[in-house]
Amino acid sequence: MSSTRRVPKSLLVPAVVSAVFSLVPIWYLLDTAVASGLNTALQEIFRSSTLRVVTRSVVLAACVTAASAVIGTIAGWALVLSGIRPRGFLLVLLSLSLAIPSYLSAFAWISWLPWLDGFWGAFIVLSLVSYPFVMLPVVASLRAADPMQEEIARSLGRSDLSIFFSVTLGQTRTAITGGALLVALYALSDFGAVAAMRYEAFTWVIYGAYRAGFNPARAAVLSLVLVGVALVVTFLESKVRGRAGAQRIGSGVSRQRTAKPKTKQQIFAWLFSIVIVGGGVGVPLVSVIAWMFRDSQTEIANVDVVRAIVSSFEIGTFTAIATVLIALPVALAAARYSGRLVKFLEQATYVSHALPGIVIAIAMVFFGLRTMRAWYQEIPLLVLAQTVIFIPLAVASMRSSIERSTAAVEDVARSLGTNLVTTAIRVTLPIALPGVLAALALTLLSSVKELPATLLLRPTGTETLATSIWKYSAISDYASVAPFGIALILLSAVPVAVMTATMNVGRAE
Amino acid sequence: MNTALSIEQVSHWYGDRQVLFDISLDVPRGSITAVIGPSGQGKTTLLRIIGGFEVPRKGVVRIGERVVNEQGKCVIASERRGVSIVPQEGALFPHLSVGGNVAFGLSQRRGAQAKQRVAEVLEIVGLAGMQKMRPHQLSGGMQQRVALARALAPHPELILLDEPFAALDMNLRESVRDETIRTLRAEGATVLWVTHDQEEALANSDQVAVLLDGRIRQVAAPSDLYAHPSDKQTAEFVGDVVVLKGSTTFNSSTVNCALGDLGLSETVTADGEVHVVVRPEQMQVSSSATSNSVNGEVVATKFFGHDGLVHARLASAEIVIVRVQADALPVVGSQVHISVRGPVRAYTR
Repeated sequence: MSSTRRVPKSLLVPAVVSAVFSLVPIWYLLDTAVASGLNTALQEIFRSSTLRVVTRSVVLAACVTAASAVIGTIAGWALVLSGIRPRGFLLVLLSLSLAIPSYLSAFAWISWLPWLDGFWGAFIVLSLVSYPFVMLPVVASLRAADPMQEEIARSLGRSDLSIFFSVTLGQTRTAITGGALLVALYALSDFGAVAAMRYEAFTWVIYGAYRAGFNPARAAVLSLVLVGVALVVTFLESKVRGRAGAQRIGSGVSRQRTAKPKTKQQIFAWLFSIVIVGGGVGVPLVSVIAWMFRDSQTEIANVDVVRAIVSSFEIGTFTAIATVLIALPVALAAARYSGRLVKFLEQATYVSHALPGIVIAIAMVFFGLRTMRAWYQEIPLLVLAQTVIFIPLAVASMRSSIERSTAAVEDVARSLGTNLVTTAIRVTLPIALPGVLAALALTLLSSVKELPATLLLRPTGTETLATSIWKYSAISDYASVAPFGIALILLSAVPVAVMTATMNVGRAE
Repeated sequence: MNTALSIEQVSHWYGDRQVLFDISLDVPRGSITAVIGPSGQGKTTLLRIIGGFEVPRKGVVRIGERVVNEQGKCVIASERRGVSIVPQEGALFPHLSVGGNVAFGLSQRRGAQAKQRVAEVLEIVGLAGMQKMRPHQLSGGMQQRVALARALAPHPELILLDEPFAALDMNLRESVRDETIRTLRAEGATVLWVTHDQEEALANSDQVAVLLDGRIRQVAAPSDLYAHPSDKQTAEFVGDVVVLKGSTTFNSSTVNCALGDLGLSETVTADGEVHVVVRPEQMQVSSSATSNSVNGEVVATKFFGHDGLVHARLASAEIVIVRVQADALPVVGSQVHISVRGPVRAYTR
C-alpha cells in the first residue's frame, strides 16, 4: 500500500510559487547584509554590541520561557485536575491573555508602575501574554492521559506532590516542551512589549537601526542573526512536534477520574488563577477603562477611532484574502500528498514562522525601496509583508481542516465522472471551506493586532488601531489610547473566547 | 462481448520495486469476482490501476471493449471509464447530503429523472427517504450503504469495492455484507472486490482470484478453488489445512504419508518428496481402529460450541488438526484412530 501519489501540476505550480514567495524576505535580507561587502557584514556580527543584544534577547527569551512553562503547567493542572469549577469559564478567562496585544499590556503595566521598564517589565508582560501557548497543549494532553497511572502511583504509596512531579509531569512532558518552544519563539520575535518597556532586545534594536539614521546593513545583519537564533528554536520545535504524534495514546476513551480533589488544592488553584488572570487580563483591561477617565492631551474625535478601525479592517481584509490564496495550494498539497517535495514546500512556508514580524517588515522595506518603489509605504507592500508573516498560521489552520476528510473522496469523485478541475470545485474546495473561513478570520484578527510591519510600512497619514495605540502610548497620553485599546481588546477577545469555550476541559466526560 | 473487464499481463513498479507481476484476469459481465490475498500484496494497487488512479508500466486493461490502459499509458482517464469505486470507509462527501452524494455521478443532477434514480437506489440499499440526512448523522454501516448507492446510481460498467466491510465491526459486518451482495446481484452489476478475508470471498463471489506476492496464483469458482488449489500456498491461504511430508512417484494415484497411503485427486508430475495437503474436515477420529486408520495421541482440543478441533500427534511426530462434532471431543492424552475420507492433494516440495 506504499502508493506514492504524485502531486498534479495544477496544484504543484501554485504551491511552488507560494513557497518561493515566502522565501523572498530572506533573500532581500541576505542581499542587503552583504551589499557593502561580506567583511563589513562579518564585522557587524562580531561587534561587541551585537553580542550584548544577543545575550539580552536570549536571557529574556529563556526567562520568559521558563516562567511561561511553570505558569502554563500549573494552569493546566488547575483546569483539568484540581477539581475547581466552572472549568469551561476559567479556561476562557485563562486563555484571554492571548487576545491582548503585548504592547497594550506593556503600556498598561508601565502606566501604573513606570519604574518597571526594562528587563523586569518585559519579562512579566511576555510571561503573562504567552503562558497559554503552554497551557492549551497541557490541558489537551492531561485530558487524554490515563488516570490509571496516577492511581497506580498512589497504590504504590506516593504522596500527591510526588505523583504530580513523577507521573503527571511525565505524561505532559511533550506538551510542555512543545508549548515552551513556541513561547521562546514568541519572546524572541516580540516587538511590542520590549519596545514599550525600552528593553534593548533584538527587535527593538533592529527598529532603532532602521529609525535612527537608517543603517540598512546593520538592520539586515541583526535581523539575520535573530533569524538564526529563531531557526534553532523552530528546528527544536518541529522535532518535539514530530515526537508528540508518536506518543499519542490509542483512540479508546480514558476512564473517568474517581479520586476526590482536595480542598487545599482547590484553594491554591483558585488563588493562582486569580493572580494570573488579574495580571494578564485584569491589568490591561482595568487600565484601558481607567484611562478613559483621565484628562486627554489630544482631542480624540469619534471619527478618528472609526477611521482607525476602518483602516485596520481594510488592511486586515486584504491580508486575509492574500494569505489564504497563497497558503491554500500548500495546505492542499500537504494534506493530500506526501513525499520530499511536498515536505520541502511546506517547510519553506514555515520558515517565516521563525521570522519575527520586525524582520519581515525590514526585509520588505528593502524590497520596496529597491524593487517595488511604487509600492513603498503603500498598502500593497504592507499587505505583502503581513501575508508573509501569517502564511504559516493559515497553512496550519487549513491543512488540519482538509485532513479531516480522507483523500479517497477525490478518487470517488473522479470515478463518478468529474475531471480534475471539476473535482476541485465540487469536492475539495467545499471540504476545505470551514478551514478557509477559519484561516480568513484568524489572519484578519492577527493583522489588526500586528504592530511592527504596520508601523514601518503603513502609508503616511494612515493610522490603524495598533499604530494609534503605539503613537499615543509612546508619549504617555493614555487617555487618548483608551478608545483604540477598548476597540482592539473587544475585537480580539471575542474569537479567543469562542474558540476556547468550545474546547472540552473535563477528562472524558 | 461478455467480458466487462479484461486485464492482460499487467506489471507495475513503485520506484525500483516491482509490486505486480504479469497479472491477467477476466471479469464476466454481471458477475462478482473477488481478489483475495494477505495485506500488502498488491490488491489495492490493482484496483487503483483499474480505476485509473495508477498507470501500470506494462500490460493492457480493457473495460468493455475499450482499451483504457496500454503499454504504460493511460488511454482513458478515470472520469471517462464508467468504473465506480467504493473505498474502505465509504468516503462520503462530508459537505453533501445523502441525496447529494448519491446524485453526484449522475449526468443531470437536478432533474426529475435524477431525483427518481436517487430515490430508486436509496430504496435498493434500504435507505429510502433519507435524501436529506447528512453523512455524519449516519452509522458506519449506513454510510457504507450510501457509498454503495452512490456507486450504483450512474449505472457503471464496473464497480470496484476495496475491503468494503473491513472497517465495520463484526456484528454489522455480516448484515451489511449480505445486503450489499444482494443489492449488487439485484442490480445485475459487474463487481470486482478485494478482501483479505477468504471466507467472505468464498461465500459471496462467482469467481475468486488469489493474489500472492504480486502474482495471480489461481482464478476459479469458489468450490473449485477450495477443492483444487493450484499450489501449497494457495491451499494454505484458502481455508484451514494440515500439511504433512509425503512421498510419491511420477503419475502415481496415491501418496504415502504419516496418515497412511492416501488417494490423490490429481497426480504429481515428479518423483519423490511432496507436501500432502489435507483439510481438517476430511479426517475423522474414532476410538476404534479401522483398516485405513492410523494411531495418534490427543495433545490438545478446542471447543467452539458448534464443533471442535482435535490436535493429534502422529507416529511421525507431525501434528494433525481434525474437525469433529462438539460432543465427540476426546480427552487430552488419549489414543485415537484417524482416518481420511476422499482424495487429498500433493505438491512437489
